[in-house]
Amino acid sequence: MTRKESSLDAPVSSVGDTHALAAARIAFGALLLFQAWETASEQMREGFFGDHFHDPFIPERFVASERVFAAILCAQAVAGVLVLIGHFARPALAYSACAITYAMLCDRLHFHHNRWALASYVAILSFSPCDRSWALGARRHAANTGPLWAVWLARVQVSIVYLASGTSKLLDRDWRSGQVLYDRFVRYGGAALGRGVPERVVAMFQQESTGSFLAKGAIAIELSLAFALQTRRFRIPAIFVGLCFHAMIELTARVELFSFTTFAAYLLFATPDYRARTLRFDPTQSKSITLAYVVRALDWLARFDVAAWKPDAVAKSRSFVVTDRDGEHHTGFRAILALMRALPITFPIWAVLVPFVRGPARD
Amino acid sequence: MFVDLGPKARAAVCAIWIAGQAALILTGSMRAEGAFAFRMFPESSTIDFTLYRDVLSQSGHGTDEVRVAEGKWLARDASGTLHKFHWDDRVKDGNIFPYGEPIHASYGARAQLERLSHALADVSAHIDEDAETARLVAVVVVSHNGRSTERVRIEGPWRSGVR
Repeated sequence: MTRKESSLDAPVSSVGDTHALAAARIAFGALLLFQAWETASEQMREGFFGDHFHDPFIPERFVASERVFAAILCAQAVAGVLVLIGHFARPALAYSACAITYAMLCDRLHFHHNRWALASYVAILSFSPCDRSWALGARRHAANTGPLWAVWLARVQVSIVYLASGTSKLLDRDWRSGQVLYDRFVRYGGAALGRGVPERVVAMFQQESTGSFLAKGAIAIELSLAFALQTRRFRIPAIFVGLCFHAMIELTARVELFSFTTFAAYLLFATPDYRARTLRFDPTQSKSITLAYVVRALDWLARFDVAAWKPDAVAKSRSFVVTDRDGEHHTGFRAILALMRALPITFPIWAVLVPFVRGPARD
Repeated sequence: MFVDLGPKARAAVCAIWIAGQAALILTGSMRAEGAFAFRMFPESSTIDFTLYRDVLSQSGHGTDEVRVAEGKWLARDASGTLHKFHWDDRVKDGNIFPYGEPIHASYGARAQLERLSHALADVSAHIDEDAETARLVAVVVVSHNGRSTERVRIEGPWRSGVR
């Protein structure tokens, strides 16, 4: 694959590897299944929404009956499985987006921004060749490349969410001044104490200046993420900041699937470069065999070509070598860092460690 | 299974999608909860509402306002049989329940007041066996982000055949 082919600079004509896209599809499949379960649980707990007070966006005659809604939910669960395994994944994604949106249109009491975000992402993914890789039973040598314009659109959608959220807060006087956060911290301080948060920490958050500082920080983060994620230069730090931001939200508020939906969407920011890096390891050493096994298991974006080397005099001094996509070789701790940077699950650890490391492994 | 679009169709889909999202975001204020506009964590406001029934006055002229404690009340039907009514027989959303304590207005005070207004109308329309309640009324104390409080009175529709 040439540099031009893998680039997303020309959104409409871009073509590239679909493994990272397929990883995102699997993540969204799991979220869709969970979403279907959540909606079904709500209906089981409260009874069918149409049998009690509901507040539809659409005329009542278009609201589904109990049987129809149950069928829609069952089909949603099946669609989630199809998305996970990669069979009929694109129609299943399109259906899921429609089903989630329709459920919210039937009852605005069940409207949630995270559900709309999920519906938006999966609708866009249905336009992408996300079923060409990591599909159960797919032919081994089938083409794994495809048009990536929908990946570009999904990336834009991530920025749209941040831009809309950040701007609405910026334009709101109470949000901008910190009053919203301050009031929230004051009201939930008791609950935080009950959960074991130290009194000193709660007291710190219950100061107006803290609320003001955090509000301005949150607005700045959301607005800067909207732009930074779209640039090659700032994408990596932006993803790390975004991960921390959503982790904080997840810890301090009930936001259903919002954080996980965003994490899944972050996978779409990975450069589509299939096995552009290599890991060569010593097959006679158990620790390097274990490392190779771990890398293979965690390499959801298919970034590493992992293979054993033939033992020779030079190889004896090391147990593994990582070669980056620019051809640079790394051994020892730097090789570990290079691995951690490219594997989604270890990326946050790399981002924490890398400021303390000097030299090329930072890049 | 899905056909891959040609370049022109791709550009059209992208343009329509982005324009659609922009339209939904820009019109978010027109929907009380800012639906489809990604207005996350909009407020920390609370509502605290008390439910009242306007019942036919003993004197036969006009109505008296009677407080409904914990969303439960007793009323007779046209034949004089006593029935028990619960607000949560119809309203399952805990964010619009007359607990007598502040409830977080999760999508903003405006959204909760609008929902409450619709809920009053819905409950009023589903208490056929109550021949005493002429209408339901909610008196709501709204705390706007802990900054100011406001008292709002929401009156449900008059019930036909009772007044």
